This record gives sequence, C-alpha cells and structure tokens, in this order.
Amino acid sequence: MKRSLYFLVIPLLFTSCNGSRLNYDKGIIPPVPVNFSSINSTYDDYNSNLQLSWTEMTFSLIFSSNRNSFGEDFDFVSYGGHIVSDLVSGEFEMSTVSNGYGLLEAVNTDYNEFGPYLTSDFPYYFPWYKEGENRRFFYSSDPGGNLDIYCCGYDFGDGEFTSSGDPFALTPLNTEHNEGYLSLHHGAMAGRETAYFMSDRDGSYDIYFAAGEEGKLISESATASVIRSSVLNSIADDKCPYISGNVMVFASDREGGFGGFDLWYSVYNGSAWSAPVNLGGDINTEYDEYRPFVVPTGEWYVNDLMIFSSDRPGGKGGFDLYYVGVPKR
Amino acid sequence: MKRLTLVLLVLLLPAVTVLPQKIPAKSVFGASTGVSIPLDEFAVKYFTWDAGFASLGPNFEAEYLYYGKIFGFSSSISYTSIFFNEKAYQSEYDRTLNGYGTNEVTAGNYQIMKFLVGFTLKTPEFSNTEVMLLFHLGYGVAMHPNLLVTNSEFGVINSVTRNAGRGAVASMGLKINYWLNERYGVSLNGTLNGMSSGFIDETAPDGNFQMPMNHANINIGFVMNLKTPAL
Repeated sequence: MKRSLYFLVIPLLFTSCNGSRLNYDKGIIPPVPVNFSSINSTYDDYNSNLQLSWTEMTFSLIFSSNRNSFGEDFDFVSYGGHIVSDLVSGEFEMSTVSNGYGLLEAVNTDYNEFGPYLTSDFPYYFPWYKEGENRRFFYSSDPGGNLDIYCCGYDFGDGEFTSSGDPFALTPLNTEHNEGYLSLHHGAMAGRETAYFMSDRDGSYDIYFAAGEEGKLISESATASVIRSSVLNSIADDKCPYISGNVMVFASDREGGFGGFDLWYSVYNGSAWSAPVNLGGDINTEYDEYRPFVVPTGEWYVNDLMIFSSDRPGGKGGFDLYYVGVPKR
Repeated sequence: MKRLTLVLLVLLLPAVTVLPQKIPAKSVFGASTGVSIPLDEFAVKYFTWDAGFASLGPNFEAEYLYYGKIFGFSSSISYTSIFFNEKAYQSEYDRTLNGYGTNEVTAGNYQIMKFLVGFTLKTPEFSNTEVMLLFHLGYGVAMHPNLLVTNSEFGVINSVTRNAGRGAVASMGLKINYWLNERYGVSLNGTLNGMSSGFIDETAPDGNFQMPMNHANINIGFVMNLKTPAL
C-alpha cells in the first residue's frame, strides 16, 4: 500500500539509479578456507593449478584426482568456472561450469600424475620468451615406479587447454628417486630460468633449487645445476613448493605446526629466502594440508587467493580442494 | 520541459481554485518537529543492493499554507538528521567476514534539507479542526555521512567521505490543525517523502552511487493564522 502511494505522488521524478553504495572498497577473499564443493568428489582431489582472469572473472583449474579410477591411480582432471565477487554483499565464490581439456588426454596415463604447473605469464622476465609461445605444463608421473618431472607444451584459448607436442621427462632434474612439483622462480638468476621442486634423493623429501643453462628454458636445458635449499628444508618432509612473486608456499610436517602436513611460506628478498613461517591456525589443522598455490589478485582485492588440499573433516571425502584468502606479502 | 509544465500547472491549480471558495482564505505559518523514519531500501540493515542502514532521527519543519474552504497551496522547508546504524552495519561485516578480525564502524548522520511546494485538499473546518492532504514536489539536498570501516586484520575495508548530493523530492502528507483560537492552533502531521540522491565514493570503482532516501515524518507543532483581525 505504501509503495502504491508513492506511485501516486512520485511519478517520473527520480533519475535512474547508477549504482549502489559499496560496502567494500576492495574485494576480500574469504580468510577462512572454503570447500571447493562444486569440484570435489568423494575420492582424493588435490594438487591443483589454474589459469585465472580477474578481468573476465573466469578460471580453468587442473588438479589430480583418483575419481576416474575409483580410488586407484591419480589422473589430471580439469574444470572451467567463474568467480562471483560482490563489493556490496562481500560475497566471493568460485564455482565451476564445465570440465575436460584436450591437454589431459596427452598427459594422463595408467600411472599417477601429480603436481600440475602451468606457465604462461611473466614473458617479460625472459627476452626469448614471447607471449603465446613456450607455454609449458610441468607435472610429475611415475611410470617407472618413482615420480619424475615431465613437461608438455600446451596452447590455451577460449578456456580450452590443448597439448602441443608430446610430453617429455626433464632428465637433468630427475633421478631414480622421486621428483615432482616443479615451480618456476622468475628472475632469480639473470639469463637463466630457475625453478624449485621436491625430491627425496637425500632420504626425506626436501625442496631443491635448479637453474637451467644460460639463455635456455629449463625444459630445453641438457644440464641443470641442482642445489638443496638449506633455509627452506627441515629434517621432516618438505614438499610441494609453489612460488608466486616473492613468496613460496609449501607443505611440511616439520615441528611447530598444527599436526600432519601444514602449509608454510617463505619470502624472497631478492637474494635469499626467509625462514619459513606457518600459515596459521585459520588455514592449518591437525589434519593434512597439501600442495598450496597462490594467485596474485592485483589491486582489486585486499588479499591473494590460495588453493590447497586437505583431508580435514567436513569435506566430501578423502582430500578436498579448498580456497582461501591469504595476506599479500 | 514537460516536468516544468507539470509543476507550474500544479502550482496554478490552487490559485485559481481558492478564489471561488466564498470564504475568507487563511494564510497560515506553521512550525513543527518530530521524528523521521527511514523507509524501504533506506531502512534496510543488511548487505543488499541500495541498503541505507538508516535509523530514526529528528526533523524540523517550517511551512506556509494559504487555503480556502477546500483548496489551497502550501510550501515548506525542512531539515532532517537521520542516524546511521553503526551497530547493524558492523554486524554485517562480522557476518560476512565470518568473525575474522575485529570490525569497527564509525559514521556520522544522514542529513536532508527539503524545499517543497504544492497544493492541499482539506475538509471544511469542524469543531475548530481542519484535516488536510498535502501534495508536494520539490528539491532536496542530502548529505552522506563520513563512513569508515576498519578490520583489525585487513585495515580500512570501506570508506566514504562526507559529501553532498541532490535530487528531486515528492511528498504526500496528512495534516490536522486544531485551532485554539482564531490566531493560534496546534498541528499534527505525517508525511511520506520520496527522494533519491547521488553521492560520490572515491574508493569505489564507479566513483559514485545513487541512494534511495525515502522516509516518513511524524511531527507535532503549532500553526498561526496570519490573517486574523488582530493582525
């Protein structure tokens, strides 16, 4: 009735609304982990990486799962999705709309595939690297019984990954032990592409630094210098390094955590990594947290996006993927 | 142009209708004060499109009426100060951030100044009482308060600097005058006011926003007949 009265006395007076008062100056990604429920299954879902466009608010995610084999070997699974981010309600949600990419057919085998890592950004670090070229998909697989690092070229367009060329092993980095979870460290050495990866070549899992040959991508190098990082490692297992900008996040079951594997981070000051710091009780639990990766959000969010996996209670079963906002560092 | 013509017609209507009413017209000044109640989106206190988080506030109004037996015209100037509900606003941040960090909200008041003109329809006076309907159109200047929200973990998460906006106003009201004598009386009136104002938010991607500021006023005051023989 009240609205009816308005219509009687307020005809045609108001200008049309051109926006609402925003309750957030910038977006905030939930600082408490959110289960990626539209992706997770009752099987183990972990080891993810993604391509994300903040302008289009879309993403393409690749992760390892044993859902296709009903709990046996792990294959890569991929989904495309979109992000809903509302500065009025504060809502941030990642949801999926499609799945399946041609790239996966080239890399998935009857064995396990883990640790996906997509390169396509930061061409300005490498004079010989042109945008749209040399896109590489690093991952690890164990056809020989132990994990080795592999690389496969790929193209990306219209939300679709397709392979370009056949996968090949990075022999300068691989041994008869387990190697995996390669992550490039852009700009660490002039003229050389550098990376970090995990290996148990010295007993427990540790994080290793690798530098390719001068003027070559690490995937093109016939040799590589490999050094165990003394600052990042502990006597426990240190795994799954992922570098975003000047920050490395990784999983470790070292002392000082909340139980099981926890997520830790270290900051690179231009010449050295800081002592690792636990990501805290808002993210870590007494259960396992595993394979984190961070996506920078630029100026539109107060925090960065991190996706990781955990077998904490409350999920769909086994390891589930979670996303969470972490402070910019 | 059409709107201007409409407004002029609205203003002329009482003038041509008061004259044939065969009784002495009253020229009345009134002043009143009361409470303003935000309505619709302006009163909404949860995060949604156009929510104003406005609470009650005081208002002051001065008016002039000129009317005969049934028709008349009137004009008014009013000032309204409406409190911003900081507690409700903070609780929405507590909710949407899942209790992460401690949120603190500081805000001033909404302020609205309205300039209205229009016409009246009234009942013939009975038992020293007049009941009249007021239909007003006009212009409003509104002030959006300073608004600052901080989170102990993230720092400043929302800020709007105090700034003024403007917009058209439409108002409809019911007014009851009770004349104590030929010159003085008391009044009770209630009005519905429709207004929407544009404001600036320098920290928002668009830089500005539109806010519906519909509100009701319930006032009591006095009226004074300016055309009594004593004058």
